Amino acid sequence: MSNPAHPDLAASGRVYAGERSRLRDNISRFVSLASIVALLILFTAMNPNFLGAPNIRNLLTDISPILAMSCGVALVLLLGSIDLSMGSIASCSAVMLTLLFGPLGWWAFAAVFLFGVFAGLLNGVLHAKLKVPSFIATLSTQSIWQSAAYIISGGQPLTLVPGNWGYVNWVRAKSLGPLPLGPVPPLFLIALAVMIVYHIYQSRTGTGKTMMALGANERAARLIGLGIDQAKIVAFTLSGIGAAIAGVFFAVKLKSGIPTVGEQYNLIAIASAALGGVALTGGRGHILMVILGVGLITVIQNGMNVVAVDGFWQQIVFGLLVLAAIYMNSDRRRRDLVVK
Amino acid sequence: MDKQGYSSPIAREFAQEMARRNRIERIVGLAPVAILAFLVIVLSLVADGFFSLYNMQSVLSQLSIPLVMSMGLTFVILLGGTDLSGEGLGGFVGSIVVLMVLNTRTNLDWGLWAAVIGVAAGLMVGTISGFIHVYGKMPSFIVTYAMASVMAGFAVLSYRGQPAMSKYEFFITLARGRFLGIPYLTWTALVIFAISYVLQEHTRFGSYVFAIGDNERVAKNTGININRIKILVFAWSGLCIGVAGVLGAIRIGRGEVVIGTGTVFPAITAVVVGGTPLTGGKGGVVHSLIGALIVTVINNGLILLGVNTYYQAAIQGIIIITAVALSVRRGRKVVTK
Repeated sequence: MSNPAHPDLAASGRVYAGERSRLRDNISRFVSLASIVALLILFTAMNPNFLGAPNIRNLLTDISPILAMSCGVALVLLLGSIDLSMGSIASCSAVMLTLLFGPLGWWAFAAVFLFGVFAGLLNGVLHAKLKVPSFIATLSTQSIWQSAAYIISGGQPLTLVPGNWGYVNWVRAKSLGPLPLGPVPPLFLIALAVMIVYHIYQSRTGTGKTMMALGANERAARLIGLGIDQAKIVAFTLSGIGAAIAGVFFAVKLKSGIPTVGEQYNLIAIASAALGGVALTGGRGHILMVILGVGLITVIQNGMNVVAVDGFWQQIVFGLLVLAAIYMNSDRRRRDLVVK
Repeated sequence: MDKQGYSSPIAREFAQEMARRNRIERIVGLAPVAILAFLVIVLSLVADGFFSLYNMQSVLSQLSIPLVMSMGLTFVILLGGTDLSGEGLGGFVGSIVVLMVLNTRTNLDWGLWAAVIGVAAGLMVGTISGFIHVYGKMPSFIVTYAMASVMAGFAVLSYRGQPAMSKYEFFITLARGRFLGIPYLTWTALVIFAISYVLQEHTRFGSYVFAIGDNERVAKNTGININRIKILVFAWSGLCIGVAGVLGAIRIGRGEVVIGTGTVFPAITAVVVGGTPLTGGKGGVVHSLIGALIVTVINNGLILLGVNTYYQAAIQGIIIITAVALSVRRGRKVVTK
């Protein structure tokens, strides 16, 4: 490229580099989509019921909480930060919701939503204002909310008393007013709405665009006067809300509040976002594409259940998936890159 | 030159500023010792039976695992990285060790070799994490977080859902025995501490770790093989986690993944509270020893005061956030991710 006698060569080199980076931007999406199709075929071949209407309904129900969580964490990943507290925020929300139906009725949903706002806000303030690195701040709040979930529930799974089932029966609705839903569960529609709202917020508002900009280059973003702290706090708050919504989903789906229900979902949500093409280094990714990662993860999880693979394999597979997804998305071109 | 021997007012100002910073740093460095003394005094007054020989021995016994874990973690944090693999890896090592000594599940009876193999397994997994972190250019916390999940899966896989019970006499002796009033497990931890101290203070490896943590680019330009040192650090951390896993197996006598559960958080707390900032380059294993004592004394005191054990993790969380928030560099130009 540095050969002055061949300016065309230099130009073609640059174009080549550009195309290669565009390919890399999309590689995890292609891999995710191709893997979903391949796995759907594989699992259907192993068990023909896999693509039956009941299992599709199961799949979409399983997707819903993961989707709500991963869209939230995707915003945080765009900053180049991480949120490890989602799992226990979800657990705490599930436990709270189960208990609050009694005193609050329908307002229980609002209370849990507010809890999500608060938990996310706390992460955001700790990170943006006190400058605590996000992984340690959220690891600590993860521990705090996990303790809270245990303390509120007394360490036992809480079952929803039959008197309060009226608040959660809509989960099984087969139609939306006159509109038949077929195999699509209402939870999935809510999760989809969360994803679309988060996407529009991220791509259309100033604060949302700031998240992307500061993930790509925080110093530059600060120099041109963008509201860095505000964008960070909003991203963490939206992540907290996503986690609380996931907790609500767990509670209404299982008709119970289990204090450990969200435990394994931290890794699953991060893996989903990464498989959807969100780079852990920040500044690169697309919220709508996160659904591909969520789909892949859920198909693997559900497929392993359908073909009856032992549960502990899932931990191994998800751990390796996270490593693979992040490897695909990480930027290794810059030689002076300092990775801690 | 003026009376004090400075060539210019700027030089004098600089020297005074540096002296002032050194003074502040020395005072801050002593803070963990003061906190520990304060805790011991308060708990002796408030908690019945805290200041007794029996309880001091149980504090020392509870100290062993957090101390060993924090020794490996100190080097990783000195680099500016993190190792979160302890939960899964410690559980894995503990599980396979019990499967290899005289036990209720397998016919193996390899005695102490089982412990050696367990520690070697920890070393190997740590090395793998280091490789992935260095050559994959992926942040260490996420590599080790994923590794924890993978190893927890392998741990349950190794005993297929039914944990083995150890029937190995020597482990039972180790778990209960004392030398000079200090439990054997704590002696093991103190040996690891001594090795860590020598590594940190008297080897080139130790100085390189500080150099890399202080400024990686400068260290690289002076010709230090950064990648090799980083992998060695993660290998050392894996080895320490392996030792902690073996100690855990000896303590509970059952090879189960829960040996690792909840061990990483106290270790991070110990390192950070002891005075090694997450940004690396400062602090060291002596600080972490004080930090581990603080964490153990707090947990012991909470139990004696009859506080619900569920509060322990939450209190540790608050301590970590406070310690990190007090130790980070602020200012508009600092970028924290």
